[in-house]
Amino acid sequence: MSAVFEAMIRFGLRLAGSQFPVFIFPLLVFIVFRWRAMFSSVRENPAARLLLSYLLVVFVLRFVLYMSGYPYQGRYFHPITILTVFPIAGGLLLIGRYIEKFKRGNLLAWLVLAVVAASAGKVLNPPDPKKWLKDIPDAIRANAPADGRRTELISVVEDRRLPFYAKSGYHLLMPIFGDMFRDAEIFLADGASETGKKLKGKGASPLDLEGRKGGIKLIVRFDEPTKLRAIAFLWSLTPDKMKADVSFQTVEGGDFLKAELVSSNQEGVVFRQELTAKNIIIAIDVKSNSLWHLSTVRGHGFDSYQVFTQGYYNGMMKWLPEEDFKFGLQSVTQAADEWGGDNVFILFDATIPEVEKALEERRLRGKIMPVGEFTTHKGKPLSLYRGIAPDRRD
Amino acid sequence: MNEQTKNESKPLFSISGLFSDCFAPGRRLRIHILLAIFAFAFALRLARSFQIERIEKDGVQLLMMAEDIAENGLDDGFAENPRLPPLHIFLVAAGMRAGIPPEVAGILISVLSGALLVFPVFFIAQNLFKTFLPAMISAIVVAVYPNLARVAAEVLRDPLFQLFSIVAIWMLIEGVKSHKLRFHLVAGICAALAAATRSEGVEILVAYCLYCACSLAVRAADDPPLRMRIRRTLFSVAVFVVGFAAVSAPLELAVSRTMSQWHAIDMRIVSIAEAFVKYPKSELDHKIK
Repeated sequence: MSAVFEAMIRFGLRLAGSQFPVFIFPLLVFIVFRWRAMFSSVRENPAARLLLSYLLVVFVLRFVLYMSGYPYQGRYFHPITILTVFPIAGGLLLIGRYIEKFKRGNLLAWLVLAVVAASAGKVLNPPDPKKWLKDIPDAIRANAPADGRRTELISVVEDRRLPFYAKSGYHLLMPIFGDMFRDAEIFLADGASETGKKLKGKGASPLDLEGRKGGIKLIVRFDEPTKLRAIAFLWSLTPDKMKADVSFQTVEGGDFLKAELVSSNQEGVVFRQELTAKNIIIAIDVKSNSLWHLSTVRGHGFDSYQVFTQGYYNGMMKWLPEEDFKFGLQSVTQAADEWGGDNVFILFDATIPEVEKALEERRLRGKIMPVGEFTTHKGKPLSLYRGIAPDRRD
Repeated sequence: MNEQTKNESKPLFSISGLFSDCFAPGRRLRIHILLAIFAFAFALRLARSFQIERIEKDGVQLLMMAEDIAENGLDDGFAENPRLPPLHIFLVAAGMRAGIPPEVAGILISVLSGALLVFPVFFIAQNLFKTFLPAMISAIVVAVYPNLARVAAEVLRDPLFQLFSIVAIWMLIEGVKSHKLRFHLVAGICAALAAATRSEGVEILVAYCLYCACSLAVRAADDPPLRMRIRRTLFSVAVFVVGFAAVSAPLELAVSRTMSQWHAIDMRIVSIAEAFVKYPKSELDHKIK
């Protein structure tokens, strides 16, 4: 099965899964029982022909986008969903007509009414709300200094809703490894080529990684020799169950350093999905310079955090590191001190005891104080801290 | 909504007898029914919007950019995301200038766009099915479709994009049926507005070109000679492009002086499609072995 065909099946399943189940049955009924009329109408009816052309173009371009590894959302299918409305209506009519053969009366009206009720019920029953997205901004506003100074949020979670509803400034807390990818070039190597195919970002990565067997080699070339950081980073990308089969080689040469991640496991295809997903994240980061995902694959790093603030880089708005600050938890306490103290809030992806322990170990306890602990809708712990007002510091 | 004329092409399928008593409505009743469906769609989306405690992640970026533009002008407003098409942001910023809070303006745009979708869908369905009943059911389905209704209660560009796209398709259908160039002009304008809302708006242009190619290749029984069809098609496409350019060119010019990098024809889509087509098959096969 070719990679493209496999991707088409995945795309089709994703498309089917994004549709409202109640409408799938009438859609299938219409397609099965009226396929001949549909084909003839494409020839005879310009409206059907035009709709089919639009459907084809939308379908192909959405598929290309899907293949490109772009983060895909269900709403990208909505133009296709709108086009399915017509066969769904036809299918409902066919079902109504069939039922009325057995029982007289306006059963179609009841059928449509049932569909409307089911759909409206679904619309008015939103999924579980992300309570933490409400609670954290509320906590920030409740604990903001009374003198009206603007609050600043330093967050491990990249979600603009947090500062938007807290009405605060926004900074990201990410591991320093992310930063080195700003100028890194990433290559995928295969058996035939030493340098392999340079990842050109989102467009190339999924195809490059799909269907590879017998080991995956990732070469990361840095502008600066940062050997240890590179190895640590590559190791952090490696799935746990694959670590036993992975060996690292570092090659120094010229003005750059090359770190390779080689899987010796001939059944590497077993791990493909997991490794692919993570590698796509790298490619996206290289392209967009939005480095958040790197920290999600690394986990938290009390020694490797760095505070990032948005600023212009090569004419575009980017997350830039606060280079004057230190690394790890010290960067956080330093930011809290320099930006005003009690107006600075920090959101960690760990429980309060974990953060307290980390602060204790680094002799930073008392520099920031806990405000509250929260849990995301996926069950991950988050803890909100606040800086100390200058006049209350030890 | 007129009765079926002799010149119209064959219906996709026709159902007679169903609801003949209660659904043989006159023109006025049909309009009332359609307006009732619109009102229901609007109310459903509005009700959903009241349930939302926190808007979508992407919506925040739109609101922040709109706030920046409303307060500080166009210059730096697009720095946050220079590739973002400007229309939705402009509309929210305009709402803010009119005194509407940005979140409310964003939701109102979505709710109204989502509800208005029932009209083009109804008229397209009527072109397909040739009768009122299936067209009405199509309008009902699009009014209550949960995926569409939920997105239309959020601060997102999608409902506005869907509205412009489907209106463009509807206008093209009317245009190719009646051969009246004014429909193509309006279709071009709507396609440009769709492209100014989401980059995928250019799909309509591609789809229309594909349709024209198919229509020239396949000849129906009552079609005129090929030369006349080619001439007619070229005129139609030219008028469509004029309509598209009439909206997109001034908009591109307006944002070109800012940090925006938006183009009516999104270069990313072109490059992705190019990469997809040019991807060396041998290289792919080699990896699969």
